[in-house]
Amino acid sequence: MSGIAAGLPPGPSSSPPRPPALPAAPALACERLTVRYGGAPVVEDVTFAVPSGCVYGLLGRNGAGKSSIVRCLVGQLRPTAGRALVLGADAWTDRARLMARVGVVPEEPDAPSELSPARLLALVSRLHERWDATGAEARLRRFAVPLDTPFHRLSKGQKGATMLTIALGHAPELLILDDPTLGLDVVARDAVFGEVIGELAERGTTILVTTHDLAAIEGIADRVGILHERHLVLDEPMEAVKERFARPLERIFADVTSAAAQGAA
Amino acid sequence: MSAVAAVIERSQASGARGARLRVALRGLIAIAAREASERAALLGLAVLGALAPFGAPYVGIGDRPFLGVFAAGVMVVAAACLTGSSVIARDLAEGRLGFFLARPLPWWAIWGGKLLAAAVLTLVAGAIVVIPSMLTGDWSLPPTGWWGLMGIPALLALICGVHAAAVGYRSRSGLFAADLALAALVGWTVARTVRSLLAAGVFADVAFVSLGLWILALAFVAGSAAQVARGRADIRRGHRILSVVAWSILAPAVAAYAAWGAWAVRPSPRDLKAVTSVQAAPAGSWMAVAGRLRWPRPQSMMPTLLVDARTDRFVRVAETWDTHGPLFSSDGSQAAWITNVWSGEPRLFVADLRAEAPVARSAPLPVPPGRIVGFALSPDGRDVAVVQVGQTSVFAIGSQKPLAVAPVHVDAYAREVVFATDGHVRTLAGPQDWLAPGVLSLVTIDPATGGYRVSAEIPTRGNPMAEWGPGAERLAIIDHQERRPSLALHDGATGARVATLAEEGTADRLSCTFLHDGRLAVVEERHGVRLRIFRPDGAETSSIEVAPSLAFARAVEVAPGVIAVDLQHFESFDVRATVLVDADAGRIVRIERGLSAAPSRPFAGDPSAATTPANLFVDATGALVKLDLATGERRRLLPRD
Repeated sequence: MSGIAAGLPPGPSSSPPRPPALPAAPALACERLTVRYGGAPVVEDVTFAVPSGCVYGLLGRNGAGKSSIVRCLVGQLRPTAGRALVLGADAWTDRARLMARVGVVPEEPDAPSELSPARLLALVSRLHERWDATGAEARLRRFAVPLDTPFHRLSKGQKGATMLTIALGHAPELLILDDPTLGLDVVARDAVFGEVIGELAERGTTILVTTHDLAAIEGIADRVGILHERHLVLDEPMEAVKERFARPLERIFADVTSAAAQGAA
Repeated sequence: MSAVAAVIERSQASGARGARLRVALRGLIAIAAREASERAALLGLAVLGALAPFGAPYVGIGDRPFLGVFAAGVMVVAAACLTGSSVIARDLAEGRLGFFLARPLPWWAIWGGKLLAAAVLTLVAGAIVVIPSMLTGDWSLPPTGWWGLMGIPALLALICGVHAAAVGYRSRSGLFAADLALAALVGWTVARTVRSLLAAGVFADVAFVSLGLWILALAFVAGSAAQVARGRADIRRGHRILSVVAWSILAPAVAAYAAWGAWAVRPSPRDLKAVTSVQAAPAGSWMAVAGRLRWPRPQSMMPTLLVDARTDRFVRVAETWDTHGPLFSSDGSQAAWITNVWSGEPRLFVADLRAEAPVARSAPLPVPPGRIVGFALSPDGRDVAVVQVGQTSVFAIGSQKPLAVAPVHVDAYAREVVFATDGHVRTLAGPQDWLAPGVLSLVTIDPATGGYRVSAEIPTRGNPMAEWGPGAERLAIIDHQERRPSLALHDGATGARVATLAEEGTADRLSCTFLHDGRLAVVEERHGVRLRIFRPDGAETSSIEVAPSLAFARAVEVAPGVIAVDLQHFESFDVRATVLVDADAGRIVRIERGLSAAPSRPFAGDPSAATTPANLFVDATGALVKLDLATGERRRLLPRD
């Protein structure tokens, strides 16, 4: 086990054998999800499901609608139409209850800027019913995050590591990561994907990750979805995609999105 | 088995709910503590504010008690604005509210924690500033009830109102412009309604202001709660929800207030609950009535109405205390009055009472801006005389130009002016000193020529009170009512003393009233109440003991030759009575308990009022009655059932 992954909390399923990427009851689902801002559509009629224990990579260019879907799934944005379901419940109506079982790392770190990581952990520990304070602090140390520096003075990587630590502190069944490697250097990015996400996945934690980093997700995702201009244009198991296209994921993404663009034209 | 399972399931669900509630409350406190600690610098500012009142007087800025309270007020408002504008709105604008929404906390714990921090910080900042003033005895805490009525709703309205404005501003949405437009409309509507109510004598009591503050607080608190509950991390959606909720409370409330205000200032005679003053026209069936209104009309309002006793016709005059009049022409066909006499922007109104549906119409008032201290209508109803502090003017109704202006100084709150039978206008000028001897100048104005002259200088012992007789032919002056009063009768044209009717020190208190035929009824109080009747030449014709004890009496001619002596305290402190006296026969006709003869203040100052026997009385319940002087039977005129 790597250094970073060593501090991870036990997942909901502590037995190591990773379940195959086959759907049981979905841990997360979007049903004909549509989001509009002031009438302008940003997500249209998107439907997909993430089975329990699955790592789902949601890919898309900037503005494709990934973050809006994530905000719907964490109950912070009400869909204009359709539903976002998390652990079998409506993400909008059951947000508070669900957040006890879900960890969220937003695209932009949103922790109170004047608090240091140590004080952030102290604050968050009071907002959850169960919290692994020792593990969280150990994880921050392993990420080499200074504990007493105000959050706004941390580097981008340190902020991301702090947010990830906060998201994992209550041992979530479901982890939602919105472009967690954006702005990270290669070492930090590998730590997130290779060690943390990989380790969590092996423990059976369901993970939804949106990213531009196609190469990194290729090795760990069980299933991928590609968003292009508000629409989900691909939603298949990773193995099936690789088999069908017989190309690296980066090429597949380029081909699928350009084909979708031509189709739309 | 299934029943046991159901019980277990219910128990587990209940336990889970309890756990969630514990987490929510713990989260609420944690969020409040964090918000407060982030803004702790505000308390340092409050400490500086607390010291300011103690240092400022040394550099010549204000006095300590005032500055202490002022600084606390400024601190509370500033703290409320700073915290209200930042606790939620800044998090939203900077995309940080999602941090709390990603925790297992209900919306109310997030919203409540932030609001609690803002309220506590504001109160603590205010307390820090005001506590030194309390310790030095400059200020003390308002009573407990004040906080519920005013303090808490004002604080909530301020914090959440500022929050609403901050959310609107930070949302950068076009809806904010609509908010501002609506706020301007609401502000204008409220200001207009308040102004109209104040002009009508409706003063908001504490309960009413408290209700308004609570509605304001409710609108903004509910709006901000809905914003967090339904808008969550989306600032534009949150702003939209906040606006919809807040305006759906405020707009109907303001509309209802405006509608109530418009309705409240338009009372009719049917709304009268109790008559407080009445004045009959010299002829005809019209009378001016002031009184209190039935609920739900405003209880502080005391409007004056012109009422036709024979029909249901009426004319709304104005609020009573800021109005001179209404006065009637001698045939009762015209009434005139001046409103806003204290505000410096007086307005003249006239009403043609012969019309089928008389209405008040505005007429030019060609006098400079300023307080009106005296007002008279000529017997023919064509001319008006107005006394101001710097001048007395006479003008024809409808004219933009005065007929005559006498630039004489009148230093008094109220000073009678009269139209004499010779067509001249007479008034008394000069200072009205409460204590020192002085001189009253008898000013005669001739509207025909536009000239004026000082006809006489009448020395007074201090605080003179003048009473004009019919046609301004006689003038009675009571000197120094408060201390050893005296009474002298003067010629109205020349000011020459005709007779001294009561020497200084012969009575503890004096009042007098001219009868319609020029005789003078004088009420003397000393170890009892005595009514004395004098002819216009000063000769006494009768003297009757009316009551054996001091009774704060006054006399009114209620029928030709019949004088009602009103006794405020008859037999005992709380018994009012009127003693009816036949002035010709010099004997008491009857005693009526619980009655007070009209005219009564504020109309009693009108010279024509004192010479119009109208047989009108106000009973103990506030009902206006006519009295059968022979039998004592009372006929109720107002309020109408």
